[in-house]
Amino acid sequence: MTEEITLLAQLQNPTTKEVGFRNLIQAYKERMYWHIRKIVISHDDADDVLQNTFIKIFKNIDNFKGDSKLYSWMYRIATNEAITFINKKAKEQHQDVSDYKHHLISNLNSDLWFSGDEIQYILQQAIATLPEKQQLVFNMKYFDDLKYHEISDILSTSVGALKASYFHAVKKIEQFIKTYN
Amino acid sequence: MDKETKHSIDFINKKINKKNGFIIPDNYFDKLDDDLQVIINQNSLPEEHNFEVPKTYFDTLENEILSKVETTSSRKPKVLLLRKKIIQYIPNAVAASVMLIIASYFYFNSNDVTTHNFNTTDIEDWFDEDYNTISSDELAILFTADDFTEDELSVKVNNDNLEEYLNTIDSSNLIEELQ
Repeated sequence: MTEEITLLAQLQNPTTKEVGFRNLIQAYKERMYWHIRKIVISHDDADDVLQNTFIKIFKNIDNFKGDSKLYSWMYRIATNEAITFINKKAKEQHQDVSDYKHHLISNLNSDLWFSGDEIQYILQQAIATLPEKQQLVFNMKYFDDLKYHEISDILSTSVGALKASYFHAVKKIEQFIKTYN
Repeated sequence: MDKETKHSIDFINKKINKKNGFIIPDNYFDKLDDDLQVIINQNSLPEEHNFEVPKTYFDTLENEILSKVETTSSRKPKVLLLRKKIIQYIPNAVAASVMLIIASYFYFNSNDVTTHNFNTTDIEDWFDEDYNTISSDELAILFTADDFTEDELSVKVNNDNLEEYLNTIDSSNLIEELQ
């Protein structure tokens, strides 16, 4: 929290904005990347979205009111950027977004930047069958170890609703793995 | 619900152990800092370019382009008829063929190697005109000793002429030539 306050002070002062931004990237780049990567799947796309996310953060940092954590605010921008990106890609391919996601997953085995074995491939297929919100909640809770109240800040959803989403997500994934493995 | 969730999570953990199989290129995150720095620097550049256009330029542009388009489209495209084109080339083709036949006739029926006879005057003229370009080897091929009289080959200089000639020569030029 202290780190966030220092960063924010640097970012909102024009003379230290660039230094502050460098520090912000250093602190959050990996977490932001992995969050985006799990949504857009491909490394190259994740790289594009990550860069756009940081640029958006840089341009809009003066508008950050501080009514939520900086971390949550950035996560929200990253999530929106990634979802917008994948919707746009699906539209370009004249596909429904869930079909497009399935298409991405089916190409994973030939992806240079995927080293998963069969079970990890099945897990990605299982995640792709979930509704968008459940996908996000599962990835953020299971892989990123975020707390419900943090996810609640990011996705603007109540903790109760998130718990229910997570419950349904893990149940479906368990069932999918049992069926296909 | 929590108990059931935990049960399912235990199952998933056992199967995949929180690994998703995604990997990234080596040094990706190091490079990312530089990439973003470039983008930020780009973004901090002024967006205005300060070039000016005449006030009514964009108002009149549309009409100007349209008028050119109309002028261009109103011109009738030139149609070239293949038949006409072929007929146009027939006389040339015939003339070329006749020339070829005549040239072939003379070429294949002539076994003589053309020789030219030069008289001495020709050679002298040529020698006078092209003196500077003649090498001593060429001269040796062209002339034999019989072509010259004894008088022409001997050098007769009296002492007075020689002295006068030597006085006209700049000594520094002479030294340079001797070197």
